[in-house]
Amino acid sequence: MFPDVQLSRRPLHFIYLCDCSGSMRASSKMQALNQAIRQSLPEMVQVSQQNPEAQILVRVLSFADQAHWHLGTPTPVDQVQQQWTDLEAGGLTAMGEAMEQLAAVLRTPPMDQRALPPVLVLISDGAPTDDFMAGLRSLMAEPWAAKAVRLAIAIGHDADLEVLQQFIGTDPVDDLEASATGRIGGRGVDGDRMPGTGGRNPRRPLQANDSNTLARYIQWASTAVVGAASQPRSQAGGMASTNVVLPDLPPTILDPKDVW
Amino acid sequence: MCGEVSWLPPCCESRVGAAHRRRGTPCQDASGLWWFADADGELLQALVVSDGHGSPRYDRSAVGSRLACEMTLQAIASELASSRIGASSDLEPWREWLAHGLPEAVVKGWRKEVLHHGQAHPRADGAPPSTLAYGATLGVLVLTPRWWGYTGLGDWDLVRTGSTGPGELLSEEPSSPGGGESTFSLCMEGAEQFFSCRSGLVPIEAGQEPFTLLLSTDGIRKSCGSDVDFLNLARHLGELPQSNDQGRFSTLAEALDHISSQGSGDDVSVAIARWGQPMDAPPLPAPWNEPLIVQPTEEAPLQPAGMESQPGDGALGPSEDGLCASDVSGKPGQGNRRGSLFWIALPLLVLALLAAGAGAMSWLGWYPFARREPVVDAQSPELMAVLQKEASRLCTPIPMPEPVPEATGAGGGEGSVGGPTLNAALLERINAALSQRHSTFQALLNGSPPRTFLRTPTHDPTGALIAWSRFHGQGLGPREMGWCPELRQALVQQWERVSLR
Repeated sequence: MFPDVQLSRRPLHFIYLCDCSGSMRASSKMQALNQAIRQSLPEMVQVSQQNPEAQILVRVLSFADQAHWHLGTPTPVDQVQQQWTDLEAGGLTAMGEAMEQLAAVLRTPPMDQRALPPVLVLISDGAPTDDFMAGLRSLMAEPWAAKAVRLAIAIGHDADLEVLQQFIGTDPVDDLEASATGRIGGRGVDGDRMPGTGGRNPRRPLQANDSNTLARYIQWASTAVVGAASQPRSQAGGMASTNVVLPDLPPTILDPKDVW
Repeated sequence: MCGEVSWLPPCCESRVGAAHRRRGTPCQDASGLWWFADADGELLQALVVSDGHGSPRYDRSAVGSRLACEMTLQAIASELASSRIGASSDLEPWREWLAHGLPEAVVKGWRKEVLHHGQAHPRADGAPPSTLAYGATLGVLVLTPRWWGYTGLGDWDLVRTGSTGPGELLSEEPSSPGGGESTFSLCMEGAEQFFSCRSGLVPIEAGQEPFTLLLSTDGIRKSCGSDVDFLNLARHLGELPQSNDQGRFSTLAEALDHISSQGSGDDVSVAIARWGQPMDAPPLPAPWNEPLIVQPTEEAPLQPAGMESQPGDGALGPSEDGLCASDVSGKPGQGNRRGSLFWIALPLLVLALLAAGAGAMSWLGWYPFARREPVVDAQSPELMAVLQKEASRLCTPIPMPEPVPEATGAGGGEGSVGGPTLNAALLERINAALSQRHSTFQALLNGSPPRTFLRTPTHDPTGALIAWSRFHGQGLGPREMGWCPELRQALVQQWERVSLR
């Protein structure tokens, strides 16, 4: 007779941080983002079914003039489709406030101590209009944020890649390379973009300049990355490595119709 | 309490996790126990659990965890079998041994053995043997008639349960050293120094009440909804009836399978020691000549040479040497495969070039393959309506107007903005919104035709507004449109900013 003990799957929190500023209305970017998220949900459910040891819980935090929980309750992935309502654009880019609000939910409690490293996906087409650094400091003070898989998708060429890189953090591989080359985070010491590195390393902002590429990156983050994060693999402390082995990025093809 | 109490027969078990079973990966956990006599013939017990790391770089961690159990039990026995535990009441030397002496012996022995294993099973790429691939945690219990102690490193847990009341979590890893699934490991530099904070010695007093100690790898605790559940589960496992004296029993194995399948899916291991009356359990048998090691697979299946470059069990990312398996050259038959790949790749390359060219043309405002959208006339009512609506949105007043002198230096004349004062907060907000359209300003400045943005103004009202301001000259026109002065000023400033870059 097994005792009255609650055995449960380890929660895996997947949180979208979506820029809903006015500029997202341009060139149907908001429409493309909504469509990409909606389209990714069925495959996300499949990933959840393939990894029954993880309980995938989805939330969406939007930010424009203010940060706002669009889907605030950690929702089992198979219920997100029923509850999904499209994001709407309009206003500024309160990304710093979004970081603060995110920090508040990444504390224990409410986070379960046994939780898997969360997956945080920041999607933006612009630059913060509030105090982003203060928000980021609050966020990174939370151990769960430091443990999280942090990804960023830059929509169009106006996205502030420096800010998105700060959200992701330093690539440990870059740390090693930096000591040898004097370059940091995929950029030269003067901040110029290094040739051949733009957007094709998951530890750097992923550049989406058309709706197809955006959809591919959303799909990758919500399925391949979630699948990897669902399979915790322990490692020795102090190793220069991230907690989750990120899968290869999807191939991207330039869409001639829809360049942002 | 009546009757004599002593250590009862211990037990241990390791089971393949539900997730590992599903993926066909080996069990990276191991456990073991040994009971033996000291120089005075007193029976002693040693119990161990070890959890090999799951990340791809630790592709020999199943071997590492098994060797960790073997070496630890050997190190304990070699020290204690020649000692006289009861000869002195001073327990401090034993406390010191658990914190430092034993860890040094274990780490030294483990390193020697894994390097020996590495030499006996060389890697295909010729890389020298390294302890890293064998990384594992280690939890240890040592039981004597006068004291019991524990030591180890990593994310194992130790729970003590009495005959009544809740269990007590005696030892846990305080915080993961690298975040996430990171833990202290035998493969880390100076690993022996990480044992001391996880070691302890507890004297056994006269009349000591029965109690149970449960040593477990992290898969057990991570399967429980809360720590209360974990402590209740530890009590349950400790109270399972033992069916034989061989250190293992089927009810424990079944319970562990259930825990993994309903919980974390991870490999799970426990070692259980019980202090109580012998009538509660089978009598302790004679000392064993060798330890019992439990690992569902004897050894992690080592890939044959030439196939070892894909670490771990997932096809996630490149292999250790940075090459994909298909990059290996010089194999018979590969020339034909490459030839066929060429004919597949060629049309794809042509398509990619066409797509890239089309994309470049699209960027320049020419859409050779795109469905043509009806172009809106530059003065059409539809365009004017969209522009006015967008301007109204941007100009929406915000509270706390802060009068500031109107900015100067925009050149005056047509580029200047009328009105005595501007709402600084509103100006800042509009500038913030427009500054995110840097590429639109830049594209228009570089000669991109405004019609690119004006053709479908409802799709991108802000872009149409910026293009319209360009169409009519920098900062020109908006006055006649009746746009608020803050928007006109912001447009001037943005055009200047882009021009200066």
